[in-house]
Amino acid sequence: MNIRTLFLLLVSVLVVGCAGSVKPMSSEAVNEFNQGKVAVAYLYPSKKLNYTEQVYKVLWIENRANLVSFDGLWDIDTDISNEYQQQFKRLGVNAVVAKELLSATEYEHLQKDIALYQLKASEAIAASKTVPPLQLSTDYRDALAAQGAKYLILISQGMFNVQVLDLISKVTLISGSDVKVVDTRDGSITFDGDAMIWLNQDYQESPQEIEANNLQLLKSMVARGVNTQFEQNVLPKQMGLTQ
Amino acid sequence: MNPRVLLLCSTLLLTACAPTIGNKQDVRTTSFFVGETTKQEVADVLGLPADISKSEALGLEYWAYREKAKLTGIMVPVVTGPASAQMDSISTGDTGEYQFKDAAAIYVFDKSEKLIDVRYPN
Repeated sequence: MNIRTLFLLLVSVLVVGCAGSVKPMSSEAVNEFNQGKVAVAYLYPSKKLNYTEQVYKVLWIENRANLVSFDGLWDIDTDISNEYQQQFKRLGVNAVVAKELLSATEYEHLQKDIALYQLKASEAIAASKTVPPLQLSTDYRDALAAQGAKYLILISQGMFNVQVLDLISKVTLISGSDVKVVDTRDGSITFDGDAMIWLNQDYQESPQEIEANNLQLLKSMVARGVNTQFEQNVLPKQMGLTQ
Repeated sequence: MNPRVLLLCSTLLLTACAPTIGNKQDVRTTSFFVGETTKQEVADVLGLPADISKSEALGLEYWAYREKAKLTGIMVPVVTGPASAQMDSISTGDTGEYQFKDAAAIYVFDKSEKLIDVRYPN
């Protein structure tokens, strides 16, 4: 078994382990969820792609990485928030994109809070410490509650890793996201789970084809990944919205 | 063994691969037209930059490109017995995160998304 297969297997086991230990929302929360308005925010503070590749050098194998930015080239937060909103709507949830309920300042504040949380969480993980609890500011939380959104579904995306397998002209997009449901009235966390994007894509000449035409392929891959979380009933089941 | 198969095996063993990740073209030899080339055109030719930063006060955007993908580690086969071997990993300690010292070229764009300057810091 090669290193890559072993790594993928280990990650799969870890992911399954995480999914198994996630506690779904209480039936009361699910009831409120299905009756009232629910805000949705997808946030990817990094706006980066981490390409990785193993390069065969006869006597050794090199691990190469290239971290690139699409900041300002794709408003991923808005596009994928819309994608999640549509998916939750299909489940009968009256989902509204949080950005539409907040002022520009409030939304920016939410983005900054999540970016800071991701930074603190990654530092804590690197130092083998407990991840600090998510602290959401009252300004946007109150604004959402005032507009009838009792809950906020917060999806914060981890780094998009693009593994390149040049031998078979394939890229694998792998990324995990932290999914939380926050009670906007008191800031408590009603649900704390995760979701994965894991899909393969063939390329013709170069792995950077996923960036071509204003990131067209990358955009469709991420949307497809989100779609799969619902099609395979992973996230809705984890949240307790479906059986 | 069939000589052709042997030749093929030898070729495969001796042929090292080149990385496919990194800039689509060499930043030092790729030319653009200052005042005309757009951000999208630079992205189409070179791929996405390693870093994008903005100066709100000046209304400028800076795209920094590395020369090539970073080496983050190597894996070496180590013979552990008469008929066994294992792969040992050695990390360079480099995560691939962009640092200014890595910049091979910096492209400067104005508010209209047109290229106004190119710098080669190193």
